[in-house]
Amino acid sequence: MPEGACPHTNFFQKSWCGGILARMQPLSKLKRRLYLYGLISVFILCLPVVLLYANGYRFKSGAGFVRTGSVIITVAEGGAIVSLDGEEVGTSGFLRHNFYVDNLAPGKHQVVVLREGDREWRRTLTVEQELVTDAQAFLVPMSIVPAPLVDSAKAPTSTTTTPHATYESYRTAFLPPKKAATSTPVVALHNPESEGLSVDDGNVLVRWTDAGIVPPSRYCPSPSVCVALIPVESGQQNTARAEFFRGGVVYATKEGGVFLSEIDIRPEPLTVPLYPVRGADFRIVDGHLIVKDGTALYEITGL
Amino acid sequence: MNLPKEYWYLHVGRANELTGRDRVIYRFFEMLPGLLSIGTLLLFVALSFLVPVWAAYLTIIFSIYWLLKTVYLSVHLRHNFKRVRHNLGIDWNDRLKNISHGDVLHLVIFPFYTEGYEVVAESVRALLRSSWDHKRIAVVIAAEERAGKEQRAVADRVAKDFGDKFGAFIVTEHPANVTGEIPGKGSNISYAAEEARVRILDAQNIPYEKTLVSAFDIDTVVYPQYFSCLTWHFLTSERPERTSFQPIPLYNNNIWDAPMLSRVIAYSSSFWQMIQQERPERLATFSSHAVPFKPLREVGYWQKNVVSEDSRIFWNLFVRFDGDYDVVPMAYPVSMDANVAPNLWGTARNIYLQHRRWTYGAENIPYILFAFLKNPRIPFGKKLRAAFVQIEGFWSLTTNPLVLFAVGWMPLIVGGRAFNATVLSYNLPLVAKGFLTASLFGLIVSAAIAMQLVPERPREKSRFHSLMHFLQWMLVPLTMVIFSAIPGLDAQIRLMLGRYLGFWVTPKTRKISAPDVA
Repeated sequence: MPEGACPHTNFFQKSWCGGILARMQPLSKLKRRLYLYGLISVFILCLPVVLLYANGYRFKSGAGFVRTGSVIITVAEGGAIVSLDGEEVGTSGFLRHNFYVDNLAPGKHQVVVLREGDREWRRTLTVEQELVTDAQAFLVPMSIVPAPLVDSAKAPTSTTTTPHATYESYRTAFLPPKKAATSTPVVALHNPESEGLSVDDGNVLVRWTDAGIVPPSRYCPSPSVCVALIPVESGQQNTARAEFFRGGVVYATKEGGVFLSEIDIRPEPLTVPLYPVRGADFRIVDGHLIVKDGTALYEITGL
Repeated sequence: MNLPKEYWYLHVGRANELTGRDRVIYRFFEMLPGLLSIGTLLLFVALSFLVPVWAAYLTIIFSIYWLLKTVYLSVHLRHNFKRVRHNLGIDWNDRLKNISHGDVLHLVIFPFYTEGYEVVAESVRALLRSSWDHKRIAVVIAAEERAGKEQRAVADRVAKDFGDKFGAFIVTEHPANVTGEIPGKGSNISYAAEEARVRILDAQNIPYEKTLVSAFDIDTVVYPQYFSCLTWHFLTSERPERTSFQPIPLYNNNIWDAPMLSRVIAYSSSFWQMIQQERPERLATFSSHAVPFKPLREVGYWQKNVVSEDSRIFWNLFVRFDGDYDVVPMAYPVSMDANVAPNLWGTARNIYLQHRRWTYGAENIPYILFAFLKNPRIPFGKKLRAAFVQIEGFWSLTTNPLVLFAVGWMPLIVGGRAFNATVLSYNLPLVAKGFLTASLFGLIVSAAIAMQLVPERPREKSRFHSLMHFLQWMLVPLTMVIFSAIPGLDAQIRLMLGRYLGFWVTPKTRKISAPDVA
């Protein structure tokens, strides 16, 4: 080996400078063609398989290739156990809020979300081939205890009170408007997401108002069939008032009191009595849910 | 030397040098690379809005293609690495014993602009450390008049210090503001080559056909057996007068002082050359290269009106000799400077500008297509292959990284709720990410090879630096987009709009002198 034939010496130097004399040829054309055609063959074989896989096709023994669908369940709260068709999918946490389950046969699938201290949340989702059905768990505490509000101006100093100005803003929210607009109480509100809420003939209806946009999955009994109207309360009770609140709808019926219901056309949407006392009314003031029963005011917290 | 009339187009640099129909055709060809790249990216954007499913399919197809391309290129890289290692172990002088080579002269041209004495001297010292007979090396220090008297003084000082150690040693001074030239390496070395012909070759009666010109950068440091290896390749070549010779540019001179970003890009550039060395039919000359003097003179030396004179000279020769011209990959390195500025921002800026200049090599596409139209003697198959290789190369350079790391994901953002409700929309990131992650094995191959090419760790550098030399490859997805695809697109858009680039000289700054390669 000539002196200085190994410039930039490094720890591989010895293996570099072994005095090899034969000239090493570039990759032969034959080898390169073999590599090229081999990889092209892999590409041709892979491509349809990958594209079918990406579209939800799966191979099932005995049935061949079947077209599957998926569900994605979102749980905003941590510590909830998510199950699909009786099998646990996972537990929500700080970094995990979405549960994507693929490879599902088309048909009905039952989702259950359980969290300690909350009501069980169930949903029956219809899975269709090549489509994803999504649902957001609507978790509500098992027990909801209305907190009585006491005006600080009238209460003894020892009790927990609400500042007078705040209490007054709550109280005046229940005063009837100076000029009654209609004889029937109708509330029309809008969520930012093109949703309108109305009380029509004593029933609570949520409507998808933007015909140009496909509505979210909760308007869709199945992924490919969606409706524009969800009757949140259409039973025998007469609703006097309804408002959007924390992703659902709070409404007060003349017969039953104040309720919270989620907005979902799919079975079985959750409805929770918040203050089940006849004649109770509610208002949402600065994000606080205030219930009035007679002259007493309560705040519903913990939702 | 006057060019034959039928090759009147041989030194066309831009459309505005032509008239009439030829000008329109050349202009269209100048626009072609940019139109193809922008068209591809716009197509992706449009499909993402209009038919997101198709865009998603294309992204998945691209991801698979990328993985397989990585495998294919890694095989080439690994083989070339083995060949480089092998060639570094060969005693090329011993191989030359049975070949008559005593009359071969190496004419080495070092073009320089504002670099300091140490940078120039270090490159010349490396010639002295080479095992080739120094008296059969003629050195040309090619200075620029526009650089001023101080730089001329640097050249003269180098000549004074080293001039008597070589067969010949001259300093040339390329005049400033010559009409029809763009200031840069091409015009400088072209002038230097002609000066060398008159002052060295003709003066000493040295035959042109026995003279090999190594057109270096000022920071090019040869390995000890570079000239022997080059001579061997020259003398054993099937058609030595129809062949250029390409060493591998390794950016090792200052690699231990270069920031991580610079190192990754430097090795990526070297690796690309190593891969091309295993695909000689795709190889054009690049950066430091060698070419026999006779055909070089017959073609009128390097073009003086282009930025990419290093690759253009190959196409000049290819066209001038009717497609009968090749590049022989030497699989033997030369060492150069990685891009280092006083601060990281300056380094990043320099890298961007250097890569924009390199990727401005797309200016060869209009030249090739136009010359192919004008030269019916080049076989059609050769024309087709050369045009495809060049167009595909510059197209994939700009579009592939941007599709894979940017616009390919657009369907998820703009595809609309209908697309987002499909299994495909959920599987797109999973599948594409899977293939891209698998492609990372290419980075592992790169990291492993780079670790073996890097010079020995200086004592003042800790083991942590060595570790960072391995981990630096994590930057590749970023560098591919920011320092490859975007400057490439920038260059192609400039060419498309007729906002032609000038030659930007990469600043050479070193903390210390280049390592002793002997």
